[in-house]
Formats: sequence, C-alpha cells, structure tokens
Amino acid sequence: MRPTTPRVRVIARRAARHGRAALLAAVLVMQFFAACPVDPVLEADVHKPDVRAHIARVSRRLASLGIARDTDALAADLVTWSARWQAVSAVVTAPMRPYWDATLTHQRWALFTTASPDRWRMWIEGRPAESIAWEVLYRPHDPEHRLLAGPLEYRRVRGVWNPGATGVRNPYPGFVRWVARRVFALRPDLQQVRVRMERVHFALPGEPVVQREPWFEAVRVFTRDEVLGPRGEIRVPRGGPLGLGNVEEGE
Amino acid sequence: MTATGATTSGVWRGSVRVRIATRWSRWVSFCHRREPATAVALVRIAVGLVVAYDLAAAACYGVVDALWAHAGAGGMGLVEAPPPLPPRVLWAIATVSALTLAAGLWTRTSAAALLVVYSVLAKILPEADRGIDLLLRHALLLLALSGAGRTLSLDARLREGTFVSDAHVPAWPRYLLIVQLASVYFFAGWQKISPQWTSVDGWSALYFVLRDPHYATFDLTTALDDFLPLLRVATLATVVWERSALLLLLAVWARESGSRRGWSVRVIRRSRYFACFVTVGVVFHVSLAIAMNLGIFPWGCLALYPALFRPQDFHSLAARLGGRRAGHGQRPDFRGQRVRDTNGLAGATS
Repeated sequence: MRPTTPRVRVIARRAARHGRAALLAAVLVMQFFAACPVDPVLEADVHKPDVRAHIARVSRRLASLGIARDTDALAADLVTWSARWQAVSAVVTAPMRPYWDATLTHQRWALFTTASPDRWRMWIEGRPAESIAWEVLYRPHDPEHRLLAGPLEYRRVRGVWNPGATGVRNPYPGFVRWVARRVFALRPDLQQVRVRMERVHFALPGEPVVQREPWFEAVRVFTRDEVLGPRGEIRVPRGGPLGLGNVEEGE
Repeated sequence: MTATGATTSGVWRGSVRVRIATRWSRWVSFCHRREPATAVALVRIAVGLVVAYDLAAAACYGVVDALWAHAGAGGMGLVEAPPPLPPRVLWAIATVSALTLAAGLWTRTSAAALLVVYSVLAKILPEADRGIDLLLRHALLLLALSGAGRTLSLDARLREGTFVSDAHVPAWPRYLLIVQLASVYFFAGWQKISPQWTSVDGWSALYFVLRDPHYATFDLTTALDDFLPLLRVATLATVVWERSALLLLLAVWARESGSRRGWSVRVIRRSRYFACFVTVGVVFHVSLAIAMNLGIFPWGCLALYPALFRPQDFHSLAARLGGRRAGHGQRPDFRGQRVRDTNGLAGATS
C-alpha cells in the first residue's frame, strides 16, 4: 500500500534509504567471505610432508618474532581455524548461495595460479587402415598440421580438452568423439582417429634438460563406424552414454 | 568507579556512538548517490559486444551443437537430458539479448534474459564456461539493476527522443562493479603462491605460461630465453599489481568523495595510484590479448573498466574532443543534494 500522508512518506523513504545501505553492506561482506581463498584443511593434509615443511617454516618465522608455537600446535590451529572459517563463511554467504547456484557463479578467482614447467600438448592423428602409420592432423604450434585449428583453439572448446591439474576433464571422451566425427567428415580417406596428450617439460635456461622419448597420456582412438552411421549420420554412442573410445595405455 | 571515571566512560561511549552514527550516515548518503548513466552505459555496450562477439565466434566455428547439445545428440557434454530449448535456440536468444543489450533496447529485459540463458548454457557444459563468463554474469546482474539503458541507447531515443540523455541513475551498481573488479584482481593475486609466481622459483611463471602450447599465441620456444630477466620483472609486476587492487577501492573512494581527510587518502592521491592502476591494467590486458590465445578474457575484463571512471570524466573527455552536446559537459547535478567540488572533483553529500 502506498503511504498517503507526507510524514509516513518521509519515514518510508528514510527506511528505504537505510535498508538499501544495509543491503549493500551485507552484499560486500558476503562477497568478501565468498572470495577469500580459504580451503578446508583436514587433519590428513597437515601430515603431508610438503605441508608439514611449510608449517615448520612458518613456526620458525613466528619464533623469530618472539611468538613461540611449535609445528604440531600450529598444525592443530590451522585445522581448527580453517573449520571455523568454513562454518562462518557458510552461514554468512547462505543468502547468496541460491543465486550463485542458479547462475553457476562464485567469487573464487584463480587465474593461472599454477605455472608449472610441466605442460601438455595435444596431438590429433588419423590413418586409413591399421597397417598404415598415423598422420598428424593437428598439433598446437605446428604450422604444417592445422586441421580444425579454428574450432579447436576457440576458448570454450579448449576448455573442454585442455587438461587441468589432475589430467583431462570429464567431457574429454565426448570431445574426442566430436573431433573424430569432424575429421571423418573432412577426410573421407581416414578410418581411424587418435587423440592424445603429450607431456612436455620446459627447463629454464641453464637448467639441465632431460632428453627422453615423448610421453603420451589420455590416448583415445575412434573408428569411422563407431561415430558415423552408413549415411554419415551421427551414431548414438553404445555401451554407455558417451562411448569412451578405444583407450590405449600411455606410451 | 568514581563519578569522574563514570563520566569519562559515558563521554567515551557517547563519542563512539556519534562516530558510528556519522559513519553510517555517510555510508547511507554514499549508497543513495545518483549520477548520469554514462559510465554504466559504456560498460553495458562493451559487455554486450564482447558476449555477442564470443557467441558469433562459436557459430562461425560450427561448435554451437557440439558445446550445448546433450550427449545423445552429438554434444560433448555429460548432460544426458536434453536442455530446456534446442542449443541453436538458446544460442539465438543469447546473441539477440547481447546485441539488444549493447544497443540499449529493452535494456533491463535484455540483461536479465542474457543472464538466464548464459547460465543455462554454462550448466549444459561447465567446462566450456570460463572465469570470464562468470565475471560477465556478475556484471549482467548489476547492469540489469543499474539503469544502464538511460543514455547512449535506443531506450533513451524511444523515451526522450535523443540517444544521449542526462538522466540520473543510482551510482551503487557502478560501485559494485568496481568492487567486483578489485575483488577479481586482488584474490587472484593472492592465490598466485605456486613457486613460479614467487621468489622460490625466481618469478619464472610468465616464462612457462608463454611457452604453453595450448595458450601461447606464438611459438617462442627459444626467443623467450633471451627475455628471461624481463619476464621475471613482468611476473613480479603482475603479482604486485594484482595484490594492490584493494587500494583501488581507496583510490576510487578518494576520487568519488572528493575527500582529502586522512593520511591514506592523501598518500593515494599524491601517488596517482588510480592512473597507474588503470594504465597497468590496460597494458596488461592488451599484452595478454597479443601474447596469449585467451579468447574474450582480456576484452571482457576491459569491458568493465569504464565503471572505474566517474560520468563527468567521460563528459570532460567528450568536451575536450570537441564532440559534446551543448550543456552536456557541465558538472553533474546530484538531484537535490549539495554538491561540493574540491579542486574539480565533484563530491556529493546529503
């Protein structure tokens, strides 16, 4: 109902102003809690050697500042405070969770957090028959092999095939099946398509370079019959929702 | 407790209460500010164009069905149930919404529709939804709430008979866009703690990132070795710049409020931190766009940069470029609020 008297209107307007200011303050607090990169630390985590070494280093630094806290006590504090933070954060951010879930958003911003010298390089290959050697069709930074380079290097498609910290992602088999279909449509002479990830290691100048044979992981092979029907139509995967392709061991 | 002690304590409590009340009142005034819609309108145009470009790229590469159809229909995703609408229809709604958002036609509806469809697309194949998409979805919500269509838009043309309007809109959506941008940089910076981003591995992160075959635009396998010292400096500069982003909020506060009180505000003003941050940000993103194949990431971030500036900054720029309408470059009128202008910096207090 709209306020009718001037006094009621003034009070309503003032309440709206204060309400908005309170809401915006609450949003800022929620954003802070949601953005803080504090992951839950478990009891098992603090016993890992690298974490233990890090805690010991912090303990030594604290001691140099006159704060005596041994490694065990510091590890216990870490577990306790991380759990407390998680609990508070869950309560504080609860009002925004439904929105974040509905829009698949969050506030944890991690941009190129790992810059490891160990990287991946994808190879896409094809061959007309099993007895013939594989022909490289696409390889990043290889100007002679650029089949499907445009769609493959489009950021959304790369998000599907580019391995994460723990290796290839869940939709990788679906990606390989799609690549195979596109390759077979473009190259009627090919009967098999193989996609695999080469492990590459970069050394800093002056560091010793270990010479070794290329090492491949996530090797998947699809034949023409597996992905295309007799008239070139999309063949619905058999043996599971995706059809994982013929998985080969790492070479 | 003695009578004097009780009086002192009472005075102290009273002074704290007054201080809190004053701060709260200042915060309420800050949240209630209104300003010309120019800055958010520019963000709206940039965000709409960036999203439309990205969706157009998906269509040009012929990957719309592959990305957003369900697994049984040839899509890459793991979702077995068909999406609520066919992928091409979802794509078309998203593209049209992005274009109408950029044009400022049915602006709120366009922003809301794009936010909804963008979210549906993200749920079909989350791996194809990158960090920049999340950031743009956050921005879309604020644009939908901001009145970004009040100027530089078809809505303004339809409503007021002119594309450029002096209509005032709430300033808080722009402030939240700034907080969002600062939050992205600051927390991303603090998460860069792997050895290559620190002195442990000699600030070598950019050396490895720029050699990544999946991301680097050029194969610089040997050329990068000659630039290693420069790349170490650039890595350190990236971390420092990102981690300093919290100061951006202070710098914006100093600019927006015209306040000269407090040593931190004086230092941030004298150091020209705001200008440095924006310059480094633009150089950083343009360098990324050249050196790395990150799609719309650099442009999506830069699309939010107009929010960092006050509307009058754009008006003065337009005036300086000689392309302004008569009377448009005047100091903004904060509708019934007393406007205090300190050394050219307009600050509104109620």
